[in-house]
Amino acid sequence: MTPEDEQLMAYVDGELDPMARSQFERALAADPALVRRVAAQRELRSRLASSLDPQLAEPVPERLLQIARTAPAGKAPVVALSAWRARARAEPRAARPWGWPAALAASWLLAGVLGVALWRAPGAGGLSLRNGQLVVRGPVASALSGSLVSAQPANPAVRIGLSFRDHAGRLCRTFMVQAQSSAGIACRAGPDWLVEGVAAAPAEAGGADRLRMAGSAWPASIMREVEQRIDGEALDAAGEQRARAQDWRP
Amino acid sequence: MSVERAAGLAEFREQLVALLPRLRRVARGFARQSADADDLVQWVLERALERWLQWRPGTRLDCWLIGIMRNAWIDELRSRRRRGEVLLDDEAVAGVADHGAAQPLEALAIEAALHALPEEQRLAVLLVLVEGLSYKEAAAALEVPIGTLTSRLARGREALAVALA
Repeated sequence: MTPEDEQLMAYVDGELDPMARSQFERALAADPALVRRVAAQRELRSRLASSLDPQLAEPVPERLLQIARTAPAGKAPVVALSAWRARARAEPRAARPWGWPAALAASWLLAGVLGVALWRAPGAGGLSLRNGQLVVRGPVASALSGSLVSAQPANPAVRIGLSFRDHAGRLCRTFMVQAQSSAGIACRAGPDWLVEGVAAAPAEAGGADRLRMAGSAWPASIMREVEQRIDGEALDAAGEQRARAQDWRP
Repeated sequence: MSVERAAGLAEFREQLVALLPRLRRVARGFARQSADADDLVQWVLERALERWLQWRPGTRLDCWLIGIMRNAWIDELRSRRRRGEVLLDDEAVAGVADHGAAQPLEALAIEAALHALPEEQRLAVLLVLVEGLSYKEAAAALEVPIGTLTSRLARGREALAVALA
């Protein structure tokens, strides 16, 4: 996708900020070909809408209405609505109480902290320090090398989130250690997986329940780090398979 | 249950009911068969009610529900694979979702083109172009970085433009 294509798409989707938008509109005024491309994109949008919107008028099965109206709610701790609303008002803070460990580069201290705090349980994995970098060991390393996102068991001890190439060309993966409620990013360097960062992940409510809440399962700090490091886009299932076959070499 | 909390729950249920038509439509982006899609919706409703206190009022409930749906669908595919059920090959049956309702040709063509897309692209297209989520909201619901979302969206658009030309 060229930067121009990207602009065009963002314009049609209403994702440009006012300044970029008026800039684009100036370019549009001077370029009939661009006008045609915008029109084609708008047409696609409206064809999709006019084909799929009638589905919204279909009657909803009674069974679903019943569930929405009467299925049991809760199982969550009792919170008064006032407290619930207050929490909602207070929550727009983007930053979570836990943060991204800032200086991973100078991290002999951090290694100790993480090694003890996050990977303490026997069998949950381990970290070791080599040349000032944290190297993943044990089950976490096995999962990083062996698991495919598309073929993980429902509730793995170490869950892989996504795989991507970073700006240095290395293959990196996000991972979550369920028992430790921690998540991180590791990147392949030679035969090792180096930890690039970790954050606390909210414990899953309900334990045995396999459902993960969107956007809350992976700490926001991890997703932000991925956004900053990723070159291109996350690997799809086929890309992951190829990368694993090549032992995650760049 | 306190009066206030009961009022909050009633409001939540009302919003769920109002969103049902859209949830069913999104579910068909995941599951081809409409019966499967409605099962998926049912599951999402039950989980959403169990966890209704985790939803933050003032944020978009539809995005929250779509996120739950996406994770539920991934788990469903996994367990089907474990049970050894054969998943329909998208290429082989690049057909049309079964809604049990007659549709005009244009709608059929569009649905066939949508279902011929790889799932990742189809969902990006549906969430942004049809459901009107922002890039940020769609990326959060699908748990991918924004750049990945926009690139899937661009490829999906291109493929649709070719298929529908």
